[in-house]
Amino acid sequence: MIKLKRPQGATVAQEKINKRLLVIYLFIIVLFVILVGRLFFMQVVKGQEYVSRSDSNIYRTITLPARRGTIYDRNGNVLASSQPYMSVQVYPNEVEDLDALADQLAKLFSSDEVFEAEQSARKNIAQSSLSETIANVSKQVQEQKKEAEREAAEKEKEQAEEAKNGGGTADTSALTPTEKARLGEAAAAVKQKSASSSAETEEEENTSAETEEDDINAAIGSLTANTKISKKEVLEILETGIGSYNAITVRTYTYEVGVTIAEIVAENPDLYPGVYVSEEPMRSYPNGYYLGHVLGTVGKITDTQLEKMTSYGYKISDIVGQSGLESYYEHYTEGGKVFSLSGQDGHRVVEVDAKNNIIDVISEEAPVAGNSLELTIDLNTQMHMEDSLKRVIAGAGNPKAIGGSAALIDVDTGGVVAMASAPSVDPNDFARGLSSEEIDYYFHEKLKPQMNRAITAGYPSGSTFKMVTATAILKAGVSPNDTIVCSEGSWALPLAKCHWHGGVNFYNAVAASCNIYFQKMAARIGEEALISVGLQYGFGKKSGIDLPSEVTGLLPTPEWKAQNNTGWEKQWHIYDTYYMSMGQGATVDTVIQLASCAATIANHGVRLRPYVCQSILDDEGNVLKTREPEVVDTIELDDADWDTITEAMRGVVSDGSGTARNLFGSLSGTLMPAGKTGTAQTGLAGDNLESDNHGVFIGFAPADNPQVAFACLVEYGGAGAKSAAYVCRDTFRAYFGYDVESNIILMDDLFVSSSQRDSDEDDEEDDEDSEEEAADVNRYDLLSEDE
Amino acid sequence: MSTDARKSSDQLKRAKQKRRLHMSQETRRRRGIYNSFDWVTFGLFALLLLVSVIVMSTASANAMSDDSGYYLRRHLFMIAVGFGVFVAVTLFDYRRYKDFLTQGYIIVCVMLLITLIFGTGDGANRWIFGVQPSEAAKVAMIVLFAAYLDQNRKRLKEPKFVLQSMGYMAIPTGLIFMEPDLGTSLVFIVVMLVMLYVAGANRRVFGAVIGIMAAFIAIIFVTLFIYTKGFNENLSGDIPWIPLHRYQLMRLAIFINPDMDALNTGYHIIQSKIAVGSGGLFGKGYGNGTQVQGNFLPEHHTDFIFSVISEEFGFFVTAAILCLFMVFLLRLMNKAFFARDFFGTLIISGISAMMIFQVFENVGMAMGIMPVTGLPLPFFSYGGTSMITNMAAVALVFSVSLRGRKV
Repeated sequence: MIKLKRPQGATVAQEKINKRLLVIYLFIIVLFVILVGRLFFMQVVKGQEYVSRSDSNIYRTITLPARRGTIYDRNGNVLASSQPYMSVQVYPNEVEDLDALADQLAKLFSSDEVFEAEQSARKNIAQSSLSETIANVSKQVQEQKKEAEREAAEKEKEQAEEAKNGGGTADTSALTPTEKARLGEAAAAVKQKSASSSAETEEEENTSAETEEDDINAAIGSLTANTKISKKEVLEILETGIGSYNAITVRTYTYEVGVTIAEIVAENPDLYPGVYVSEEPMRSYPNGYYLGHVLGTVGKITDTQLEKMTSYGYKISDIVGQSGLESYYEHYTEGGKVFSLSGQDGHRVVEVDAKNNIIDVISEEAPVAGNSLELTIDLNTQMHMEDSLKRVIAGAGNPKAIGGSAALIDVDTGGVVAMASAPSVDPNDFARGLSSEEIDYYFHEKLKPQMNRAITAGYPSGSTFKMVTATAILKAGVSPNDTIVCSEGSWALPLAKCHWHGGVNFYNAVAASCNIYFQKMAARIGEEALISVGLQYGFGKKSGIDLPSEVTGLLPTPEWKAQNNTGWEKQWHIYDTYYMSMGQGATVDTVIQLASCAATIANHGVRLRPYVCQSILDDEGNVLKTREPEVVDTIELDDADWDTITEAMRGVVSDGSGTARNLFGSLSGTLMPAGKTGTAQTGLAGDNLESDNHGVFIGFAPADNPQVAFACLVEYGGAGAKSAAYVCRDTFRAYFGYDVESNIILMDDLFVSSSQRDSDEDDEEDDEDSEEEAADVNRYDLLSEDE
Repeated sequence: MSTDARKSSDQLKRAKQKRRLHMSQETRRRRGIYNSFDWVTFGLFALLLLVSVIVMSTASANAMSDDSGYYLRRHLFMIAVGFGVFVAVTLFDYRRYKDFLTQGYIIVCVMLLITLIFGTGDGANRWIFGVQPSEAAKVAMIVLFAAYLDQNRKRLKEPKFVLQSMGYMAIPTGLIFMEPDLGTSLVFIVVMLVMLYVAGANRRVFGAVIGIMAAFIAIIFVTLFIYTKGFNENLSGDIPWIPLHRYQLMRLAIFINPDMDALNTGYHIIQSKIAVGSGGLFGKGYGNGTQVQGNFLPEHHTDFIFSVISEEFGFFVTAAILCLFMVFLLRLMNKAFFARDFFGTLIISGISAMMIFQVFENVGMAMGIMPVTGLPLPFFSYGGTSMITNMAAVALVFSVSLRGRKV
């Protein structure tokens, strides 16, 4: 058909023309070959690539977010749930004039309607949590930081001078005194705030209502400042999405505000091209900072998390648990079954046209709601424990006292009834996104509010560890009636000093916390016996609680010493046994280990694994899995011996010479607890050996028929009987039903007792003596202490 | 072959033609028809038009939201009108166009001038009274330039004349360029060069002109390279010494790198390439082209109609349509060998050049191997003036062929 036909018998001129025509003729063929070749390359060779680009044009995958599981306490109170939130999104590829849209959006966000809706929404938040208090604290901290910096410069000069004079002993790495004082103030502010709020609940409609109103208005005032947004800011956000077919989230709002904005956008579609308001769930913690550390926080998935969790179907920009239970049960496998708080997001694949109108729904996969958790926590006890801990920290009188933690364990199951750590964390702040104020607070390098001190912080546990020694003594067959003389003559080095106790048997020794008795008995039975009982109690090991970032602590052994020391210290010496018997030296324990230890004593040697989550539920509330008590270890000892230990611990709180006598008087006879106090030397450089002590207390109640076991450590709380024991008493009261009313009495007690401190205590007076002695004894002598 | 034999075979053929065309010997002589009508080429042409109707029916289905058949009806109407023009132009003896050399030139230039001043259009003055004079001018100028060269055939070797003939074409080309319509003015330049080449213009001058043009194009791209920082940044404005608008320069720039302005100038070409490429071997099916039907590809019933063909019908059908186009154009081109005179040869070469350039530019643009210039695909793209003038152009070839030497 395309065979070139050429005429016969052409003239010379015609031949020349024909030749040139032939060139054109062939040129046409070449051009078409190019076109078909290019077509082949695009459609056949590169076809698949273009198909995927075409698909990404028309298919949009809409994520249908799964509802994150709810967390309940043991009584069904909601501790964490997911509330709908609204995000304003823009598809930049649908917008011709980004500048005009930015202008419109900025106007919309700053409009009166949005402002009003926002204000009412903020009011609700302010009323349901105390996050503003924390923000205030952080503000103070911020100011102090600046001031401290300024003062640090001056301090340096002073110190340099002091060093010249030969008196420079201050450790610059520790907190400067001014800073300590200011942190103390900050903690005091928290105390006042919580005190006033509890007072308000008491007085209800009186003056308190007004002050609360004022507080809220002040809070709103500070928050509304950042609700306004300029056109430039909006434009900057929008410009990040240029060239992308995905939506850009401009702002997120609470549900009510989002609805208001959605209505305005729907009414004026021409003004807001490419703008969509979509509902998204957001985590909400109705009890504010209460139980914050245990519940944990949620946040955007990090790169390292994503790397690990991609295989479980997690993707970039997912919100996942970052700490606490939210993290532990984010994706939890047990017995081959997978449980997940977050559930599985659903997807709807839709076909859209160039204007993003949905033409067709291609496929839909419904979201699977996350599993819910039912905790062993009792919210009421928890709240009282936290309040009490805060009050005790604030009233400790030592500017270094900024933190502490406590735990209450159900002795029958190992379930944690309450667990507190101070300073507090309000997980709502993380769900909402931290403000700069909140960042100052949460990432404060000394306060470390994010750390759950009950499981992540290790301390020397002091005399509370003597219960381990006591168990070991009885286990070694020592009679509780064997007497040891504790008098000045027997305080020979390297024994740690003690107060004068005269002849002490087992009962006296526990009640009065006699150092000499435990040191000598420990030496008699040998360190091996002591260490093996310590390990059986779970020291030096993780308790196995279902919370992330637990630390092991340290129970020193001869092997450990050999590996981690040099020279003389490579060997185990007799003083190592001495110090260990009193929970000093290298010993590092966590509060959960101490609580577990108390529970083990209450259980006559049966150590249960502590846990927080009782059951995992599906979204309809059916129990999928419930946790049974798990025996981790058993300390073999006669019941008679256990009774002896309990009797001795009862002496601590009720005996005339008990270190915590009279404290639990308000608990009636049948609920009378057993306990052990501890005043632990921190062993940290820069701490005053006599005054900068951690206050520790362990106990269980009722002593006769134990239900719950307790442990508390107040950093720099001083004597355990004057700090941690108060938290114990308040917690026991709350647990056994001494409700809110007694709260006020508790506070009075506290203030009375702290003011009466000097006159009330006789053991404390001994401390003053020892202070005098301290000047001329060596380091090991100083390490010892007693109450 | 003896004269008698030839005569008798001629007679036989004429008898056949008489039956086919139902045209009396007298009419044929009056109209100067000596040759038989090429039914095969006409059949290919009709097939091409049929395919264009099918393509238009799917390409324009969503172009007007309240009347999905509007463009298809208009397309069919234009084919009908075009067919009337086709018959008239075919029957008209092309040699008589020589009589209107001066008048024709003046009319074309005046029309283009009026369009330039009073014309309407989106960013360019291209339309007047609903027609696009530049489209008609393309065919008119081919005939006029052929006549002009035919008239001055003896001077073709004079360098001066070659330049003069270029000046002759430069006036209408310049008027169109100023509309502005870069694509159509490029058609004029290409047609002029092909016609001068076929006519046998002075080689040195011809070569020099081509060299200057190539150098000019190279300079434009080098300048663009500098101004766009290696084809990465958008132009901020016109380049003072290049007589092209910013958008025209951007079109040239995005030809090198469409992604540099992916949502504006580069958007068409990116979406067109996606449409073509995603068609694959068999296409997405009639009416199922997602790029087209989802409106991701703009102007898919006009300039980018080739992307519709390739997206919905796939490689095999699209390649077949390209082959159909090629065979049709080659058969038109082939008729140049048998033209009765120099004038006829030049007309056919000019029209072939016009057609092939438009097809190559349009299809190449859709596939990203030619810059975007806004030229329609002959017979496929929607556009009344374009359809009618293209049919008239084909008819001109037939008019020359009918009066040509025997095949």
